[in-house]
Amino acid sequence: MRKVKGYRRPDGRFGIRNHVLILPCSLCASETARFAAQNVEGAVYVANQGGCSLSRRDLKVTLETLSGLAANPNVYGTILVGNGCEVVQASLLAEEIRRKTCKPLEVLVIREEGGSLHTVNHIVRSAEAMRKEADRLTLEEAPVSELILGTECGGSDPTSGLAANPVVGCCSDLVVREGGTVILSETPEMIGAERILAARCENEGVRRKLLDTIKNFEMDFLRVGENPRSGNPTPGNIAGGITTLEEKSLGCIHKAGRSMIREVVGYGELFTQKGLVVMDTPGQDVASIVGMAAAGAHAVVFTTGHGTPTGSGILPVIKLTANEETAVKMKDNMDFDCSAVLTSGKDLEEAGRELFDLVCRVACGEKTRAEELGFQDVSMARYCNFA
Amino acid sequence: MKINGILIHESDHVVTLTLPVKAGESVTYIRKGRLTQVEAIEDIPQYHKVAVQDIGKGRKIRKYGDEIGEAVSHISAGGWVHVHNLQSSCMADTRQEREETI
Repeated sequence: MRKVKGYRRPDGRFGIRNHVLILPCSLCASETARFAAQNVEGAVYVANQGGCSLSRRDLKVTLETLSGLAANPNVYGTILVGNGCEVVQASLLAEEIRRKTCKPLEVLVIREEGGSLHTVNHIVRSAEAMRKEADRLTLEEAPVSELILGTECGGSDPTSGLAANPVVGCCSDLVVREGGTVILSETPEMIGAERILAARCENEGVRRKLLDTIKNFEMDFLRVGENPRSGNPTPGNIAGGITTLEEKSLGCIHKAGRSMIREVVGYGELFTQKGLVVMDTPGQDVASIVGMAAAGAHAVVFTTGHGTPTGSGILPVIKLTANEETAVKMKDNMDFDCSAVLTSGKDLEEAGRELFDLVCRVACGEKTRAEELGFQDVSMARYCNFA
Repeated sequence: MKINGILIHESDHVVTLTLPVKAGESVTYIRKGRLTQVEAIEDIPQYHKVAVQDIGKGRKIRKYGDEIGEAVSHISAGGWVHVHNLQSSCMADTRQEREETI
């Protein structure tokens, strides 16, 4: 049995990182929070571009996501920063966070503090104190069954569906076999593979929710006069060898491996089941990763053909490619090169075991490239932009 | 014998080429740990699919261990499998049709 190393939180969950999070409630508090975060060693920050002028549906999603980020087990504690007049009131968000976790939480409001500079000073003092407390924790071991691993693909090319995603699929099967959790995300990539995914759902309730999730996604597009199926696969996909939509989607969903689907949740929502689970996320990589982080994912494996620098302040993003050229060209950004699957007939299962080993090492503290670079990409899903 | 094709799942009817092949050249791939070959009967570009067995018209074609559509004409082993002979089974175009299929 493989072990991971991390920290047991007071709410019972286990984290593989020990972050102090500075979390702005809205875009209006974001710069103040960023300024403070830059002055505290070992603090992470979420560049929140939302949090105000929200439709009711988006308010619900935003609260779910932001509270989920604070509750993520990789986070030791959170300093919440509001401006004072935003829709996502600091008190409202604090209440949501406390519903999910009993971890350390401090709440500051810029207007009550008397402007940005006073607030920054207060955040820095509080964050440094929280950092000291966090550093006093000792590393513990936990089984892989506690691990929640997100999967993602972006900047895809023919090598993604052909090798990188199947390699992740083998790794996902190993995580599930050890009793852990794997999240399949990106609803647009499931269109065309509904029947295949539906056949893999554990029961009728899960099957119905999966099909409804995909259908609702498609309906949102149809409502604004777009059809996500038309022009898919794209001319570029077809030139690259992809013939049908099923084939394209299968290449993507292969990341999840071949386990039964145990649960389907909305964007950023917490899972109640272990094993293979599905989250409704947009195709945009960063928003998808943030949704999974809000659900408590410890790490994300991210396949890319062309290469992408994406990272997250909350969780390690492990990036892999099966494109030989990208592995060299984007060396700074790549954690795992599985191009040998295509160039020298390396066994998929073997590459999957190596990736699983890397996931376990990262879950024991080994830093990913994006962590070394300090990248903290943030984007949140939003349904209505002109509220 | 250079490996120039990849069989993703043992039940697949097609192998994806990692390098382009000309008609008459061999496609070499691994099946169950063994090097296996099929002769290409036409030129096939890189990352495109070659049939590793005869596929009858109307038959569901498998890749990734799942169905990716159906053969619209007979495809011989070594033949190029693409938009000219493989058709999606999920391209319902109207909202009604889609609701019916879901």
